[in-house]
Amino acid sequence: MSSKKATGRHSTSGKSKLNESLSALMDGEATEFELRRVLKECASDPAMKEKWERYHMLSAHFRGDSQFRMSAPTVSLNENKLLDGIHGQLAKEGVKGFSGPRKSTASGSSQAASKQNSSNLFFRLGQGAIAASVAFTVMIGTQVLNNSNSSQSGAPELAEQSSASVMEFNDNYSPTEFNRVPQLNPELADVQDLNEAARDRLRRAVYQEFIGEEQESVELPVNFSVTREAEAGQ
Amino acid sequence: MAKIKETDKQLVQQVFKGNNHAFDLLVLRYQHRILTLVSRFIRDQSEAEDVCQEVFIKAYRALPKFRGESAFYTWLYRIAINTAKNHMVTKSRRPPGTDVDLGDSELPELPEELVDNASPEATLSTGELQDLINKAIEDLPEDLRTAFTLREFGGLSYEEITEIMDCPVGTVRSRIFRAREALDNVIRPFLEGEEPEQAGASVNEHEKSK
Repeated sequence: MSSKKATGRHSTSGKSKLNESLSALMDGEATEFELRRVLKECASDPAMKEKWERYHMLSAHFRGDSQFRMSAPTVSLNENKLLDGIHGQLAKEGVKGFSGPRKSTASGSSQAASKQNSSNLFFRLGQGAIAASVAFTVMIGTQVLNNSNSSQSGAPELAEQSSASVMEFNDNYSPTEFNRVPQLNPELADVQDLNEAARDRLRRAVYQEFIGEEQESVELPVNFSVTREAEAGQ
Repeated sequence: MAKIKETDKQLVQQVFKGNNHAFDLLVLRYQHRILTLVSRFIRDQSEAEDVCQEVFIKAYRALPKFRGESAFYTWLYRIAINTAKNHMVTKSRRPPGTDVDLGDSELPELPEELVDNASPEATLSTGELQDLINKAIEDLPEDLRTAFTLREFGGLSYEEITEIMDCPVGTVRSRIFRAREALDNVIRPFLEGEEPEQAGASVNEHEKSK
C-alpha cells in the first residue's frame, strides 16, 4: 500500500480540486457532492478548515469587519479559541460528537461517521417499514375493490386487478400508525356498484380502517384516493 | 446571497445528520461577523469573544428548532443580538441603543475603542497586512483580479461574472479560486509569522504545476 493511500492524502491536483470546491462552497456555488467531499476532507485534514477560515478572513477584510481580528496573533485555526471553546463546552454538556477542544480530529470524525451511519441505518429501516406498510395498505384496498367488483361481474381476476389498483394517500403519518393492522369492514363487500357515492364511502371506510379510529364523519386527506386504472379505461 | 443561504442550509442539514465538521464550517464562516456585531454591544474584546462563543453554543442547541424559513445568518444574528443584550442586562449595563437594525450589521463600523486599544504592534501589523493584501491584489493577473473583484466586492454570482467576462462558468470558478489561493499564500505566512510570498509569484507557480 502506498503511503499516499495509507495517510489518506491527496495528490497535488486532487488537493487543488478540493480547494477549488472549498472556494466554490464559500460562494455557494458548490454541488452537494462537493460539499460532502469537503466535509470528508475536513474530518481528516485540519488544514482544510484553516483554509476555509482564511478565505473567510479575506472576505471579512474586504467587507471591512476584520481589522482587529486580522491583527490577532492567535488567528491560526489550530489555536482558534472560539472553536475550541465551543467544542469544550459542548463536550462538557455531553453533546454527542464533541470530545473537547479539537485536537483529535480523527476520533471526532469517526464519532461523527458512526453517528451518521446509525442515522442512515435508522433512515433506511424507517423507509422499509413505510414501504411495507404502504404495500400492505394497497393490498387491503385492492381486496376491497376486488370484492366489490366481483359482485358486479362475477368473474374476479385477482392478479390483474391487483396490479392495476393504486392507492394514493397523504404520507403524513408516523410509522406506528402504519404498523396498525386494519380490520376489514364486512359491509364493504356488499357494495353493489362503484358509483361516486359508493367510491366515497369506500375511501372513507378504507381511511378509517387505516387510521384505526371510528368516527361519525371523517375528513379525508387531500391526496387520499382509491383509483383503478381498469375502471378509468372503461 | 441566495446561493450562500442554500450552502448554509446544506451545512445545517449535515449537522442534523451528525456531522459536526459542518457546524465548524458555519462557525468559521460567521465568527467575524458575529464578533463584530457583538462588539457593538460589548466593547471589551475578551468579553465580546466569550459572548460570541455563547452565541454559537446557543445556536447549536437551538439548531433543531431552525426550520430554514429565514436565512441561517439572520437567525444567527438574532441569537447574537439577544445574547449580547442579555449579557448587558446581567452585567447591569444598558445596551447601546434600544434596537440594532440587522441591516446595520452587514457593514458595521468598528467601535473606536477597539482600534484605540490595539497595541502599537497590532496596529502596525494590521496596516502591514492591509498593504500586503492590496499589493497582492494589484499583482494578480488581470483576469483573476477582475473575477475576484466582481465576486468579493461586487457580490456577483458566477453566472453573472460569466456574462460580464464572456467565458465559461468553470473558468470563472477557477479564476476566483486561483486569486484566493494567491492571496491566501500571502496572508498565511504573515499570520504564522513567516516571510510572505509575492501573489503574482504564487500564481505563476500554480500555473507551472498545472
